[in-house]
Amino acid sequence: MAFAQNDSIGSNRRHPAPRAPGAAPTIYLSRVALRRFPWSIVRRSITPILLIAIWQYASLAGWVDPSVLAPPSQVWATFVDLSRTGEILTHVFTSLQRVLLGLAIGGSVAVVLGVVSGLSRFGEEAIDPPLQMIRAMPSLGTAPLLVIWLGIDEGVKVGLVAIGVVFPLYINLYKGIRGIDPRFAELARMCGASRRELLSRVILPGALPSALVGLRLSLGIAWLSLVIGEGINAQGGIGYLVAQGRNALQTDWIILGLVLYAILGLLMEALVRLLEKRLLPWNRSFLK
Amino acid sequence: MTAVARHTAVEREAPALSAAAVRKDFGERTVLDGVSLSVPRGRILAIVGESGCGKSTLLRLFAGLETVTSGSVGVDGNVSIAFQDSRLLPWLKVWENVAFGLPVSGAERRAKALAVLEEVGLRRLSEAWPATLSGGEGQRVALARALIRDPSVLLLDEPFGALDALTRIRMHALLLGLWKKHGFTVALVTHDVDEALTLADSVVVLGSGRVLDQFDIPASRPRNRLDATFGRQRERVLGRLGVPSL
Repeated sequence: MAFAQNDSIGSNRRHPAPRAPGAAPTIYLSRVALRRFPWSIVRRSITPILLIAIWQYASLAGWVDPSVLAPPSQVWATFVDLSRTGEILTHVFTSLQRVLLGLAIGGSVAVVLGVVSGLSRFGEEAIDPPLQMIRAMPSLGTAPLLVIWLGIDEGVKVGLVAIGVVFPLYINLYKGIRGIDPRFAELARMCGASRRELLSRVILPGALPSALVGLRLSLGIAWLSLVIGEGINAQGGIGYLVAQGRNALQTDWIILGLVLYAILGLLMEALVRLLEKRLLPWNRSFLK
Repeated sequence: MTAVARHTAVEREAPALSAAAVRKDFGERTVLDGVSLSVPRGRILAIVGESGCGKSTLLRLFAGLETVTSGSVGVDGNVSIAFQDSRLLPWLKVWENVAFGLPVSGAERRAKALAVLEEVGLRRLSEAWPATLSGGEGQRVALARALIRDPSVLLLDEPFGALDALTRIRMHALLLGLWKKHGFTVALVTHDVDEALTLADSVVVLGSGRVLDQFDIPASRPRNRLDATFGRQRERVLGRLGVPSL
C-alpha cells in the first residue's frame, strides 16, 4: 500500500501529465516556486515592520509628541526632500570619505606595526608596550588633543577614526602571525624555502584570517569614532544632518542621520565579509 | 665543531646515511645514547621502536633539524623528508604545496608539481584545497612534495602511521614503486614491525636511545608475510622490544 503510493508520486514527478495549451500551470510547478521562495526573510522581517508600524501609529494617534520622536513617515519625507536636492548624497559621501581616509591612515600604521612586532622579538618588545599603554586610554577621549593638534575641521574627524582603527587591526595581525604553526617554519626550512617565500606563502596567508577579523572590529570603531568626530564641529557629513536636527529640535533629521550611519556601517561590514570569502576560499568553517 | 659531516659524492664507498656514536640530550634527558649505523646507497632502512625510543629524533638529526650532542651523522646527497602529519599548508592548493620551496616560478613550477603529482597518482587533485583531502591523499601529496626535489635520501617519519590498514598497503606499494624507479636511499621510521619487515633491506631496532638489534633482510620483494623467515624476524624484533608476539 505504502509502496504503491510512493511509486505513484515518484512517477508523477518524473513524467508530469501533459497539459493543454492555455491551461493554468500545474500545482507541481507552483509548488517548486513556493519552495524556492526565501520565506525565512519574510519571517525575519515581521518584527521590524511591526515595530515601525507601532511607532508610526503611536505618532498618528498623538501618543508621542513629534518633537520628542518624529514618526517614520516624517523621517522618510525628510529623506525624500534631501535626496531631491542631492544634498544627502553629498553628506554621505563626505562621511564615507572621512572613514575611508581614517581607515587608510590607521590601517597602514597598524599593518606596519603588526607585521614588525609579529615577525621579530625585538620589534614586539619595542612596539607592543607603548601600544598597550595607548590602548588603555579611551581613544575617543583624545578628541580635545586632536582638535588642538589637527584642527577642528577635517583633522579631528579623520584623526579620531585613524586612532581608533589602529589597535584592533594591530593586535589581530600580530596574534595571527604569532599563531602560525611552528611546524610550518620547520617545513619551510626542509623545503629550502627562501625568506621571501616564507613570508608570502606561509606567514601572510596564515595571518590573514585573524587580520580580517581585526579589520572588521576596526570598522565598527571607525564609524563610532566618526560619529563623535562629526559631533564636535559639524561641517558637512552625516553629523551635520544630526547637528541641524539638534539645533532646530527636528528629531527626524537626527533619526535620519542615525539610520544613514547604520546603513553605511552595515554595507562596509558586508564588503569585508565578501573580502573574507574571496581571500579565504580554503578556510572552510564547520558550518557550510 | 660541525655536527653534520656532509660527505662529497666523490667518495664511492661512502654510505648514504651514517651515524657514529650519536648522543642527543634534551636538557637532562638523554634521547639517543651511542647510536651507530650506516645505510648503503639505494637501500631501505627501517628504524623500529616504541614511542619515545628516539627514532624520530634520529631522523631529525639526519634531516639537520636537530644537532647532535656528541658523535656525528653523515648524509650523502640531498635529503627530503615527509612527516607523519602531512603538514600541508591549508591556504595553498595541492600543486602549490608540492611546489613549495622550489626555486623556480611560473609555468615550470607548475609543470614540475604536476609531474610528481602524476607519479603519486594525484594529478586530478592538483587544484584541490588540502582540507578536502583524505588522510592517504594528504600523505601522497606530502610524498610528492618530498620527491619534487629529486632527493638522493628520503626520510620518512611514520608517514603511514595515521592511515587505515588498506590505504597503508597501497602506500607501501606506491613507495616501493617510486623507490625502484628513482633509486633513492630511504630511512623509514615506524612502530609497525610488519611494515618494517615488508619494506626494508635492513632493520634497526631502537630502545631507550640504544640500538637493540640490527639485521639485513635479503629476501626479494614482494614479501610473503606468511613466510617462515618473516615470522622468525617478526618474533626476533618483538622479542627485542619486549612485546609478546601473537
